[in-house]
Amino acid sequence: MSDVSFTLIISALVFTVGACGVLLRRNPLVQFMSIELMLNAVNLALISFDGSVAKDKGEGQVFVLMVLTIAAAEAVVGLGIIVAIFRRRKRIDVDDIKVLKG
Amino acid sequence: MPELIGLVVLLPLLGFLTIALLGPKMSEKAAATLACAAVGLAFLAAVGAAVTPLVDKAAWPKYNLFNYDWTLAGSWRVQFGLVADPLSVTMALVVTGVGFLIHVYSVGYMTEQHHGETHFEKDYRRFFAYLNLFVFAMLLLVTANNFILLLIGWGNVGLASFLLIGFYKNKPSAVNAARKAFVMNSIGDVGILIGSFILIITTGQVAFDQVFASRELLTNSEATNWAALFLLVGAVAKSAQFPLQTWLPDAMEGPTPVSALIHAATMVTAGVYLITRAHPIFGVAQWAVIVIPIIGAFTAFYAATCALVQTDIKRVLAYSTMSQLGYMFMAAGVGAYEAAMFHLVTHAFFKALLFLSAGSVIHALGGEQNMFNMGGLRKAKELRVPWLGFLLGALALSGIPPLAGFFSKEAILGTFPLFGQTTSHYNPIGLAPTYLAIFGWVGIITAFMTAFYMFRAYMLVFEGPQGKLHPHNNPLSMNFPKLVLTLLTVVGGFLAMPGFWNFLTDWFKPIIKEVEFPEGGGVDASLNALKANKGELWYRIQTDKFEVVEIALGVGAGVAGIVLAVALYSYLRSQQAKRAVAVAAAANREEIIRPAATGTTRRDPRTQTVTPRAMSDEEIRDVISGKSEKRVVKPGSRAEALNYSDWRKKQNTMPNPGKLLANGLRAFLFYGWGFDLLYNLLFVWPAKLTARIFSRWLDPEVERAYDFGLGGLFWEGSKLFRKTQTGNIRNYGLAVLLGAVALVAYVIIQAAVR
Repeated sequence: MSDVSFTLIISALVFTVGACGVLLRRNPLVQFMSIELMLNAVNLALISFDGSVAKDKGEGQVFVLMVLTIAAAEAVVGLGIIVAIFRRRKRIDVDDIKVLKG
Repeated sequence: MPELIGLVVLLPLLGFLTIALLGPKMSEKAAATLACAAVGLAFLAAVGAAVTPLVDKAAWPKYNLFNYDWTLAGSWRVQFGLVADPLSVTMALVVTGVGFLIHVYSVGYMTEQHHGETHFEKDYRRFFAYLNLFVFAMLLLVTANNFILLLIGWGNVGLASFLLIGFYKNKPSAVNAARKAFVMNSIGDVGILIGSFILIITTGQVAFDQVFASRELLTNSEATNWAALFLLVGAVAKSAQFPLQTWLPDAMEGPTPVSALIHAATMVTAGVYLITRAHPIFGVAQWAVIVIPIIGAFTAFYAATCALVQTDIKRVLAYSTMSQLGYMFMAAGVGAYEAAMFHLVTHAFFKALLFLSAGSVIHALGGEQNMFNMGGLRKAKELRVPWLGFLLGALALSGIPPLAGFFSKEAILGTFPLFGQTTSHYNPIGLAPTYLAIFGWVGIITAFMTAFYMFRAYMLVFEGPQGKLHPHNNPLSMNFPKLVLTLLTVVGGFLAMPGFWNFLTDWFKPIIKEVEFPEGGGVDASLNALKANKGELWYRIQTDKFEVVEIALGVGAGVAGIVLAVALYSYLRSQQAKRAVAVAAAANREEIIRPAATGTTRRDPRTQTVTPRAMSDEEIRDVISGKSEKRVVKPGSRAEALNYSDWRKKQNTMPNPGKLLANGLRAFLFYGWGFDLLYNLLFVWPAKLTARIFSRWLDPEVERAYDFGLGGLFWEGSKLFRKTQTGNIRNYGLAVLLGAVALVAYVIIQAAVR
């Protein structure tokens, strides 16, 4: 198995774990951590490609920088929303927000 | 000034629109004046167009006046244009002239005078609006220069007829009659539509002169045959010929001016006009030469037989119109178009006169139409003008010289030599002399019957003892048109006197093409000659030969009919008078018990009769079982005049088969040979049944299927879809993830497959 395949499998596994975390955990903060996991799995995949297939091009590294930045910004915004929502309610449970039910 | 024909068509249209749109704001008098003025001015314009050959010979006839492009589809060009030629101007003159007189008459007819205050008929203005609409549509029909515009006019006269027959819209019989007329006219509309379409498709042209001159038409005999058939269907429906004739007697439900205008003088003549206008088509379709006269002759005979036993005076005139139209069809079928048009014009005069006179009588008697309730009106001095009008109209219709009807009827009868002689100048195409002789004899017999029923009507209405009703006066507006028409009836015949001069040939010359028929005749040679001359089959009323035999027999038949009618009805009236005396005598006898009509129980001391209620039970039982010497008698019956022993003898005899036959025949003729019943059974009843089945059983099922089927699909489907809207964020996240996975899988598989 080549290097790329190895890291890609790891990346896929980590992504899956993150996805399951988003779907199965009810605490919004844990969901956010899972989202970060997913983003970092993608970063891993990108770096591994940059190291093997697209050598000497540097595109993967640039892309990873952008993803990291966006992850950080998203975390800020998301945490702000969570704080705003849960100031009103006392419980921290994603399943409580059923306003769009129809 | 042939352009004046445009004004002829335009003025009634403007009149109609004005009265229809501004009606409520006008007074009734203003509406009537406007309507009469519109048609009167149109008449003057028609006269102006008619004098064109005297003033400006080069401009006559003009085929493409006021050409206005209606559609332009590739090479197919339909223009709305009018034609000013002898045929259309003749019809326009008749329509506007007679129409104007009838408008004036309606001013008086539709009002009632009660003790000096004028009381207008309800919907007075609507009536005049519809009359103007009708005149406009009829003028459009006769002045159109192409089939499309003709169709527009054709359909609109049917509409106007419907509106006017059903003018008393709250009367069920009138509404039914209007619907029946419209449905039958619609059958004719289908016919003329298909006929026009065949012609337009075959020739690619729409205007009359181009269609009839096109080469494709003459070579394609199948197309002309079918086109002639369908056009004939249209003509038959509009002119109430067999088999589409049942609407005309019922159309008398409309007010009398309507009957006079539409169903005597103008609309019903549209069929004859169509045949004359499209005569090249009918000339080339060889079967038409025999079928049209057959239809005409049969209808003439049929209508005359039905008119013999009618009780309503307007129905007599309706059947009479049907009969005279049959004559016109007979003439037009064999190509004697001058004779047909001549009869059309004179018939318009005297039939309108008859209808207006009858209408005056009806109006004066307060709406009574049953002739058997009238009588002795000749002596009424209020009804002098209607009496004169009716008498002269009846004489003209019977063909008595020197009135107009004589000349035109002889023109038609002269076309059919009675004893098989071949008149060299008429040279019948494809018609053996025997057929012509048959038509001639049918014409003579019908003329006899015509005279008989007209004078039967005259005797019943105007002669004899005075009936129960007392007439009141007729206003001048009603008398004036009748006087004008009387004058026209007397002098109008002199347009063409066979044997002396023929103004009509010169008048119609611009539209006649001379056809050289080979000497010696023969059907094939004549056919070839016709085809070579594009099917023009137009016979002139001859002036060099005087058909003595036919004329003499025609007049003889008329005179015989009159004499018979007068004699018979004088005899019947005298019998009636004698019976009245006997009844008066019998009234003094105690043996008669007259059932009281209204159920009063008063004992009448003058006649010494008792009513059943005043009798005791035993007496009544005795009378009914026949033990008593008294008898119950219907008032006015013949049994009333008999004494007791004669009455007893009558009671014990078998029914008289001769009397049964006579009564059966009378009923058969009264109900129009049963055609109403037949059509009711064949067409109306199945249609009504189908409609009932659909509306009661099938339609609700369809509605239910839509509600619970298609509607149910959406209902349940949406219920299903609603389940996805949980509001739970995690579910939405799952959906996003699944979608992404599907997308990636798709891309990978695509890449792998390639």
